[in-house]
Amino acid sequence: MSYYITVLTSITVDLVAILSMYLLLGLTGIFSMGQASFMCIGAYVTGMIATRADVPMGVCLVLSILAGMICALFVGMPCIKLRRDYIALVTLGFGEAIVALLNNMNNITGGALGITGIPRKINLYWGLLILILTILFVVNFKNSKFGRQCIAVKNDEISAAAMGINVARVKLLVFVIAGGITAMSGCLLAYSTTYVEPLAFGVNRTINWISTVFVGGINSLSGSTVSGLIFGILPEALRFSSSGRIILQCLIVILVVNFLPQGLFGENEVGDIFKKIKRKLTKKPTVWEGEK
Amino acid sequence: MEMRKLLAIFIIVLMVASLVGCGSSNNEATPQETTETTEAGEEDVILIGGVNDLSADRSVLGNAINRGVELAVKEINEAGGILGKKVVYKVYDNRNDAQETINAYTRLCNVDNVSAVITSDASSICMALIEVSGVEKIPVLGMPSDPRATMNVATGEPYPYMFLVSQPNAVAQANIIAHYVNENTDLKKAAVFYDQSNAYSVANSEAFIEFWKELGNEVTIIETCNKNDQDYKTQLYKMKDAGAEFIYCPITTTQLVLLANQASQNGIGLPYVGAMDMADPFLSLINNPEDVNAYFQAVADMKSERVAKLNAAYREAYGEDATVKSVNGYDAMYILKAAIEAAGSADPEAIRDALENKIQNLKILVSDNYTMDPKTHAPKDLGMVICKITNGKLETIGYYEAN
Amino acid sequence: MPAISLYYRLPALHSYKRLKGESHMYYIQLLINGISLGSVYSVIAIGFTLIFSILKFSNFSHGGVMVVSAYFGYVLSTKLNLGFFPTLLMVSVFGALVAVVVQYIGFDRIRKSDGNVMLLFVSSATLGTLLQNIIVITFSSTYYSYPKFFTTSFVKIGNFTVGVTDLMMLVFSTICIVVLMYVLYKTRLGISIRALSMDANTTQLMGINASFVIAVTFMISGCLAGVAGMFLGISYSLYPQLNALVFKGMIASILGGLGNISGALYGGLLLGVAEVFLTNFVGASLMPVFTFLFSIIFLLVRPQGISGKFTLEKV
Repeated sequence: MSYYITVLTSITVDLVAILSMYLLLGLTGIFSMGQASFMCIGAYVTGMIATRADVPMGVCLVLSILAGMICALFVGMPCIKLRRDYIALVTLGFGEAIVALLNNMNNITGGALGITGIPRKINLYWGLLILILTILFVVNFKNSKFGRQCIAVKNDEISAAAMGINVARVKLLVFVIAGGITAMSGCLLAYSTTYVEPLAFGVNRTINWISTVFVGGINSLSGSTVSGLIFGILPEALRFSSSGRIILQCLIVILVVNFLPQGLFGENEVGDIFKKIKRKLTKKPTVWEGEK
Repeated sequence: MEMRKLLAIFIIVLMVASLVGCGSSNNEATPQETTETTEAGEEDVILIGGVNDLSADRSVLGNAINRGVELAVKEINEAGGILGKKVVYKVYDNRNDAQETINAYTRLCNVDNVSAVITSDASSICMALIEVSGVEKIPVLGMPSDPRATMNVATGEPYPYMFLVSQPNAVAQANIIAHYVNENTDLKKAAVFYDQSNAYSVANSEAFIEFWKELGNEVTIIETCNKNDQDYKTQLYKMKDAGAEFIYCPITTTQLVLLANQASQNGIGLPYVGAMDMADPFLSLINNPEDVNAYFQAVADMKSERVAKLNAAYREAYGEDATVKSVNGYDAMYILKAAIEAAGSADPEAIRDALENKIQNLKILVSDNYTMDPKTHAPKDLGMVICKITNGKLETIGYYEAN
Repeated sequence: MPAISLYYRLPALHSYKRLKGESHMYYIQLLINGISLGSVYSVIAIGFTLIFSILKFSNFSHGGVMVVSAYFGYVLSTKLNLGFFPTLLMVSVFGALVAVVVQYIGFDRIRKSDGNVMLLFVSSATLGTLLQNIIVITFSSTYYSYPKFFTTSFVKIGNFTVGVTDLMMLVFSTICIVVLMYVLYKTRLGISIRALSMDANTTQLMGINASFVIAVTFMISGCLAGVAGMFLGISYSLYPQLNALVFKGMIASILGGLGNISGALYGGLLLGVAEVFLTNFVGASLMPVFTFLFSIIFLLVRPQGISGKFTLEKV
């Protein structure tokens, strides 16, 4: 059954990246069109190190995250205060610039030929473990002080600023964290495909992530996760239809966006169901968290 | 709001149901197929898998290869199959993506239980399969231009399950054209123009530059372009001003059309060399074919008798003219057929051994004595057909082997 | 076959020799080339920015409409043997129709339900991919090109050469701007479009049929996409990935000042000229890197774009 394991592993890798997209888009409302380039950075850092030295996976993972965060800082600093579409433009340009740089520095990166021979170190268990850790991190982040600030910023930047939130700082923080997580998914990708090339990280990949987050429900972490899962399995399930499956996928996105603008999950989280059940069972009046 | 919730739940249920439906129908289908092959006797069918670029950026090339394979399968079946068994060819799209390719390949190996897989001419696709082919142990026949796809360059060992079939790799291609141009023309000063985001283009130009210098000639200037660039005029001026006598340009057909149009527009009449994609239908795509002079290599002469049968079949099946890429796919299937016959069974391991050692002096479209080199898993001393374009007139010079 | 070291690498930043006849003439020719390239970007950017000005989102389905129209023009001109101008006319009508259909499928519902602007973006990007893939499936097996419409493909002005299609594209985008400006500022329809771009709700309260105005705007933009697609098909070649050029249109329209129509023209020209000169000075290999740095610096120095005024985005 190594087929199912391979597919699931590749889905976990993509899910990690989709979670970072959720942080940006769903939680904070930052619009990054070049997020795949951070995946590219992570994959290349891993590829370049792992083919030259026999280092443990953890080291590559940490270095990839760091590289992603540093690049995100570099890109985010000048543009995070700009309007939404400008951030889209700058990140888009960054994606193209990274690809051009990788192609150009062919002494180190192998250029367009990519890097082969990366050892396969990720199996499904590692992938799942990292995915679960990432989910836990994102859940905690969402419920933390920063997470609430992010939501405030997303809903209305001006009133958020009026409440004393440093909008630019919050946005930059999320951008850097998301850059780190995406780079981590890049590291996983390099370890699972054993081959990286610059062309795999184009803008289409980012757009796929964005639509996945929207289909799941932009306000719901569970929604993004579930739709990531569905969009991972769907192309595999539709293998028989060859190139028609892209069209089917597009149709699903259009349907959902049109008829369920809140996405599949709306604002619901999987965790809420348990709370609701608990409430029904105990039949206590709803208590605000602040009153506890 | 309730309505919406219901709709959301409905869509989720529908999607999950369709997934489960597809999954289970596949699960049902595959045991049937396998039982069929085991119970109804293994003599019934031989399953061949395909992973190719049927959509996304390389769809033109991927479809051409795939159609070549399909025509060959049809022909083989009409002639009685292989070892008396019918050949069933099952192809999956990979969207030109490495991860998708791995998924499709493992599916072919584990769910469909194929005996061998024919894949695309993109090096990236083949290189993504190196690792996994060693795990699944099903041989892969591709047409990658990068030698690293079939051979571990550091150790000199070929990857056991990776094979380059029906065309020389980029390095050998560059070798052929460099030697030909050096011996048969008085062109000396080269300008090299390549697409830095295209693996084939990079590997080929690197090799050409090395061979060209080794032969005692000069490379005056190296210029590049990117995937979606639309304007090559600046590079063209620079190449002309550098005093180059010809432009070596292993780039895609679309880019060659741009290059040729913009060159003739600016009166830059340098001849082109090495542009494999200058084969048909290139000349019919440009504005002023009479301005084009070129030498290039191709796997086959599409107007020759050899290819006539494929051409006719292709035209009948798809209503278009076959391209050289279809020849690649067609030959790949015939090479596989020869390997299965030599192995005497459809066992992947036996096919692998036969591919490695028993493909000798095979008569296929690209060569009369096609031999697989067991040391590199690439064709041994395979030559190519040299073509010449003089003022927009395409003529075939003939089959040429370097050295 | 001699042994080859595979790790032989091309010089990364090859420095080329100074050109022999390098003079101001050469730079003028480069400028002309930059403007020709920029005129392509401009036509794309104008259609792109028109939608941005009223609905406030980056309409990536514009690229899809472009590709579909380009192939439609190919079919017309080869199968029906239509001449240049009849084809151009049919293609622009076709582009307008496709854009309206796209509008009804993709944006109408979301706009009316007053949803997140980003939904419009997702919808448009998906529709762009959808249109592109329909083309991939229909025309995926070989390369196509337009028949030769003009006897000469370029004209010589003094020592300089200009492509005929480039010239036509530049003329066309200038005409577009003039006509659009006239429509936007002198006609009732134009006033409605501008009013809608400032405040949709109030405009509707004033008795203007927003759906109608938006549909018309999409038609104009689709018309431009059709023409751009056909010009691209003629002067470059036909391939489904032409829709990637919509990103250049987006960059151009942002440089020009998002939502500003004459700005889109300048932005396109600026981008074209910048790309050609960067190719000349740093080489095509690093051009995207410098374009990126250029756009960051430009946005920091002049966040309002070239034209100096935005259409306001409501908070």
